[in-house]
Amino acid sequence: MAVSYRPVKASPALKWINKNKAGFLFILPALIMYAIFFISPFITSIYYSLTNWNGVDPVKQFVGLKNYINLFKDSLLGLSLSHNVIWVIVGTVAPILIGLPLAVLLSNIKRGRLFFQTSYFLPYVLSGVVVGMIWGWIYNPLFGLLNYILKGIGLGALSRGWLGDPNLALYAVIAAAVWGYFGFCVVIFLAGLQNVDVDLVEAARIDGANALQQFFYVIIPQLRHVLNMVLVYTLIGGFNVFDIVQIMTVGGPANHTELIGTYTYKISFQQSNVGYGTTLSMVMTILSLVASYFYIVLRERQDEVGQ
Amino acid sequence: MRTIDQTHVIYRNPLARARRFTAEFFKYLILAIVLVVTVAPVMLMWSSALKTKQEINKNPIALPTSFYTDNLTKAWTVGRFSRYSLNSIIITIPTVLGVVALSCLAGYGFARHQFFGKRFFFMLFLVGLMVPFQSIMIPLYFNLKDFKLLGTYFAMILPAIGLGLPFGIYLMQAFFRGLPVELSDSGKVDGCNEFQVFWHIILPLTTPAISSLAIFQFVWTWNAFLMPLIYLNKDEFRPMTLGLMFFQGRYTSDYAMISAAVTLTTLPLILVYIILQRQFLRGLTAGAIKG
Amino acid sequence: MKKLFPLLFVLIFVIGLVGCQATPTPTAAPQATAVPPTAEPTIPPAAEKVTIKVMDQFTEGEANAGMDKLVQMFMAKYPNITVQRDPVTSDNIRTMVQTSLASGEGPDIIYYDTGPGFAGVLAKAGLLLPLDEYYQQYNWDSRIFTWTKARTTFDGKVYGIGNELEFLGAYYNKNLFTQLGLSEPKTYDDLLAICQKAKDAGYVPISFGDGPKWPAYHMFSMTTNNLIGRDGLDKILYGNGRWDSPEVIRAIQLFFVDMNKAGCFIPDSAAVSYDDANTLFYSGKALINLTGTWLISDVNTNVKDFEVGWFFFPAIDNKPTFPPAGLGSGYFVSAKTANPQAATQFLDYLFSEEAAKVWMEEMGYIPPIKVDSSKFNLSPLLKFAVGALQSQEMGYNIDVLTPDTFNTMMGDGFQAVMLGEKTAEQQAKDLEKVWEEAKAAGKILQ
Repeated sequence: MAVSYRPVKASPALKWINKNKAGFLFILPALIMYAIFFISPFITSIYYSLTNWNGVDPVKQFVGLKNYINLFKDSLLGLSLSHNVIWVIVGTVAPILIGLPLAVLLSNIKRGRLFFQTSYFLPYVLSGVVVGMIWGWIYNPLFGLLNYILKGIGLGALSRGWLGDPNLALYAVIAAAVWGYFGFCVVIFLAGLQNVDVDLVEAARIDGANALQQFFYVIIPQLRHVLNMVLVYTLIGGFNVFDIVQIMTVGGPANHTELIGTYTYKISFQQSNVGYGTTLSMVMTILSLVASYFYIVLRERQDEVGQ
Repeated sequence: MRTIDQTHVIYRNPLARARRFTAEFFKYLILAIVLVVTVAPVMLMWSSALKTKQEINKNPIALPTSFYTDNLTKAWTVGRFSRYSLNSIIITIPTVLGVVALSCLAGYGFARHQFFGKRFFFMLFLVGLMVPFQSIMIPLYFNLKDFKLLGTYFAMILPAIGLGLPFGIYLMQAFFRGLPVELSDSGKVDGCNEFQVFWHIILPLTTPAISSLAIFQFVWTWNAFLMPLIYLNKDEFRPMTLGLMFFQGRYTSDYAMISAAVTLTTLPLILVYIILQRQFLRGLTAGAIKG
Repeated sequence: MKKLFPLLFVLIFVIGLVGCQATPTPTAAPQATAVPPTAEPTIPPAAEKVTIKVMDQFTEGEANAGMDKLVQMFMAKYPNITVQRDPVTSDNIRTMVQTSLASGEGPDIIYYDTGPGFAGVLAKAGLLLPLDEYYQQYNWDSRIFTWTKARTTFDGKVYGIGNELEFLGAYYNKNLFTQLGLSEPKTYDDLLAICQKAKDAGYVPISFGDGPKWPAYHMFSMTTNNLIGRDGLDKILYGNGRWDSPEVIRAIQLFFVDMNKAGCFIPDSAAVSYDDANTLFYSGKALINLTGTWLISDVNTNVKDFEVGWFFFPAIDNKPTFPPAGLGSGYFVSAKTANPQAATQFLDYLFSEEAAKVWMEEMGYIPPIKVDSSKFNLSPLLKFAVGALQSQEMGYNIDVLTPDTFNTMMGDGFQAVMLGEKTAEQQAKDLEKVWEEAKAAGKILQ
């Protein structure tokens, strides 16, 4: 026997509350935690950026937008940001160039796929501190593995102080970071590849496309979601990098690996200038926001075109 | 539509077979070389932990001549890694539970319900993904002090939960959106209220997403460095990442000891990862494909 | 209207949160919590059990053990006071001290750098307890070298007790010197000649590792002191002297450009950590280690195969030498401590003759106390150091007297000079610029 409902005649206000109540209640606990431990301090830090507080004085002096104006006069900031840009570009292209072919290879073999996947992914679970320490040792000019191997195979002329070389240091650190990150790309790309429609590839082949054309015109478009994911992770991460650089070079030598993350830390804590330091971190936030915005716009446009 | 795993070509022609064999060989060769480059540094650390300092200085690559466990035991006792690893566990598990619970609730709310300001709140949570910890680090410190949380584990657990929410909610809501709407509808028809629908019907289906979120959060919290440095001031509360940092300060040139400390720090995480690798990879990729 | 409502709600929500945040109340500088000094010498009358927390930087082996011993000895003498130590490495102590002291949850005593960029910042913020009355109560002036007070005085009040008398110069491998037919250099040119001979024989002449950037401070101190002397530095630090004067430029040039080009240092020294550089010296691969007397205990522990000698940085242009000397870190008391009496009691003990024995014999540090150390069992290096402090005319160790922005410019700038990206003249100009900015902001020592 069917149950019949008699609709309750509720006032519009009650209806509105009822309709919204459920959803709101679901997000409420998270919202409370988030408000207390994120939003509140975030707003306070905006306030700090308008002062010249040194982190210890009980009184904070309001200076308005002076810190923000100083941003433009700060040549070290420009230098740090340029390094971040290099990091973002190299740190995105390299793992993709390494990860994608590996994923293709993995998708073409039958056995051992999980074993290889797991092994490649291993560095990703290590913390930035550990990655920095391991590679700091590898790069050590006196006791390090890299120079030891180079000397051993007769390429001793190439051995040097990798992290002390102004032209190489940044790329050496990026290499360590890529080591930690490419496994993530392999796994994601492999998942995407496993969902690629082989019939489409076959159709292209019949139409006369060679392997490369098949890859670029049929397979890659089907990977656009995973490519997006990788890109956005890297973009946001590229502006917030800190742990690994701090451990390996502390922004040296002579500021050649100074990134906005290490620069902010230096200003806030080593130079007791929390006011300017929070201003710098606002820059980091804005950059991440801009990067994500572009990603969203790009994605929506892609979906519109609807390949 | 066919996927690549559904294709399987059988070559009868022995020449084609040989060609395939060489192709397979080279594929595995490349994969193996990359494997070595990937895993070698970690293996180096682990093997160095079992060597004496002199052995390392002589030949860093060689395998340890004997299982010299002194470094590990010294790191565990004198280096207080026994305490630090316990702290890591005490901090990480509640954080993971908290993030998973709250993210599931909120993710479901965003995925399946309409309410006022929904888009706004969602964006609000996403902002958390972009703000570096450094900017809220100091004000949060004073907040914690005002709540009298500073001398406790909660000084790390609660903020970690709060900061893990943006990613968690994003992940869970994407997953919930992928579930068929009929599920919750049928529940409501049967007379369940919203929460019962959530608890009895939806939740049991989210195991892959929950496990992948749990693992992400576990890794992140286990490896956190800056937060415990500032909020967990006392040595008795320090997790392994801090122990490692301070350890390096004590034994900077003693690579044997440092390797031992790194080994102790990485081993539990890697073990957990290896045991749960399938869930991890599955959940990770599910999120990737749904986009 | 529909969109406005949630926005308003959140705005109110958020404003409420921010408003509820208690702003830290400014503390008046001298704390009224200090127990009025009594005429009685040591043990406080009401012997209730108190615990004081000490944050220091003695993380390494012997220093750590020696400090623990001092704590044990103290607690045996004063059973009502429990001392808890928290040793923290020097790279991290700054972050931890600054946040924890301000909150009131921090340690009672900190062992911290005495310079204006370190303890000075804390003192100016009212986070440290002025110790003038305790100097009187415990009669420290009769025991502790009074010139050390200047280093811990900010705005006319004494905030701490300086420790670790140290000076800079060169340890050298006596065996290798004999082997190569070398003797201690008397002039800068002698030093260059030694470097050449060492290089030819396949050794690293000077194990200078500038990875952490601060070793460069000491090198700069050594050459500058020998070129302009203590008076010259007095003029710059306290008067109107300038860092971009020709002598200072020459000081930078001689070390960071000329000696670097001559191959005196570890190649790629910016990639080498301080400890790696020391290890190079200990393992007999480098002849000379230019650093400070704080390393004596480490040297004694790690050098097994050769004899270690010492010479001061040689004279330049026949001018008199002034080995840079100064204090290392010092002990300071938190303004928010609940037990100032117990805390200062501990400090009093640390600077007693009994404690001096442990400092010197077991930890290899020289406390600024008037003590007859001839009865102590000191290593030859330490004996020499103690004697030198009393007999040799010393200069200034620059980085403990300069503000943090200046030190950052030294650190990054000297690396740039060594890489050939900056000239010595440019670096001197940059240093002067930063110095003047700090002066204007009131950040330098008076």
